[in-house]
Amino acid sequence: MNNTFNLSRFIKLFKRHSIANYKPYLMLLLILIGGLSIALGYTSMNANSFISIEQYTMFQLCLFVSAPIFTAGIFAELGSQSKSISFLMLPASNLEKWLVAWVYSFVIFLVVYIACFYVVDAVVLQIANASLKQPQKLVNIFDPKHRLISDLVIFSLLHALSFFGAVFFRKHQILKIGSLLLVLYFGMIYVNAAVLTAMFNTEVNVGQLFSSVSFIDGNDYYHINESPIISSASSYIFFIVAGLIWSATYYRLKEKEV
Amino acid sequence: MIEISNLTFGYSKNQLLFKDLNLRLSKGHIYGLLGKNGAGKSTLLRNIAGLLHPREGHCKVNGLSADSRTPAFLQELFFIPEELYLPDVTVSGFVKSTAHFYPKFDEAAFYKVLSDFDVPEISKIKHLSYGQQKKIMIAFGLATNTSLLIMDEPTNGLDIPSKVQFRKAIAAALNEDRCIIISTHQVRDLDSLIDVVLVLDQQEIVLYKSIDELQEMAISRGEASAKLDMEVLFNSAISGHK
Repeated sequence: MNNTFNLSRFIKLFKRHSIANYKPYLMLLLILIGGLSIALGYTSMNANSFISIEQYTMFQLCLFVSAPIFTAGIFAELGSQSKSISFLMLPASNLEKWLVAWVYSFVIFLVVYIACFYVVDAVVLQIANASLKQPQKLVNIFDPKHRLISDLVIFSLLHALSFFGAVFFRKHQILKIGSLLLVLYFGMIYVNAAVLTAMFNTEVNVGQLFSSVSFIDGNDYYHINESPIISSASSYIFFIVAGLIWSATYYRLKEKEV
Repeated sequence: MIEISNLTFGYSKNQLLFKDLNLRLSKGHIYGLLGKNGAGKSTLLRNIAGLLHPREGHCKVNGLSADSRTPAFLQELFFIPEELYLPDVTVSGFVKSTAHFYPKFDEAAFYKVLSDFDVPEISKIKHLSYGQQKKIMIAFGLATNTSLLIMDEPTNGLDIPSKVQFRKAIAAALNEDRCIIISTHQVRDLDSLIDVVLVLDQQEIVLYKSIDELQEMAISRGEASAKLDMEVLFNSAISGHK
């Protein structure tokens, strides 16, 4: 018997997880559609033209908010003692249990999210175009100008952190992970600004993390962009970090005690 | 079957529950694990099941380390906790989604025990009472035919007729390839059921004897009664009058 991974056992586990969780997942799907409708509807009403960049910004924003919320609950079984025992004692390997949760929260979530976004965006555009002078088209998220790959890397990192938190924290995972992400994000911005100020010996305006920086020196204004090599290297580094956190989640699950 | 060697466990380093505990349990027996509240019964069972990891020593079941919780280990062990969880599906839905993880699962035996317990098959599990959910779990655990069945306070929530039915079902399920451990503080529930008594007190096994041995000891002391009173036995074990 293969004690690490068996495809037939994985499929059985996947089916079992789907049967046991389809109700809360359907509920979350409705919440996602509602959230997207509010976000896209509000943006279309407050914009003079509902252009593709605005649509894409909403795509990014809703993805970065909804993904950690969904992922934080993916190991909901581990939140209660009785559910934990039932989950951990089921005859499947830790890798299979980890993989079912990963596939649901990463792959399936992303596919469902993109599908929901397009459905809601299409409906909102239909309504918005009725009052716009120049009808707008549905955004193509795969257009290179939108840098979808970079956003997917950020999504991977957010997912990995939430995934780890879902196993690490016993209760109130969403709140704890949300707080952790905010502290991490603002902490990094603060440290980044402090380091750059020390480096340039003047007050700097920092854009996104690990990207551009601008500062005034006397009467001169400087804006420095990162080189394309650094830009792509940071994406790889973020993805590697996400991979390490996914692996840490697996080992945390393996060592989980009740 | 179960080999516990030099088990040291504590929820914190400074407060150990077990120190160098050694224990061997074999197939073909129903072990009654008795002890007061807080004696460490559930903790010991969770160490055996791999739900807790020892600080030192090891627990092995069928030669497999409990720590690893591999599928080979898990498909030969069924654990019924005191507080149980069953998904929001029908009884048959639960069987369909879970039984195939246990290669020796006997569906006919499951429905037979369920019918003996008077639990309706068509019901949604969440609509059933705690006692009925417990009966489903017990019936399922028996039907898995795992070589080790662990039950933590299984009679909690069962009414008197169900307790009688429970004893019958457990006695019928025992065979030479199976080991059953029942932990309880309601010692009378195990009357005429267990064949080996384990008493855990102050983090130590203070009594580990078969019912036959205990009866022989009682007779040798001139106690005429052939039937052991589990409550008297338990009280004397924990008060040091073994």
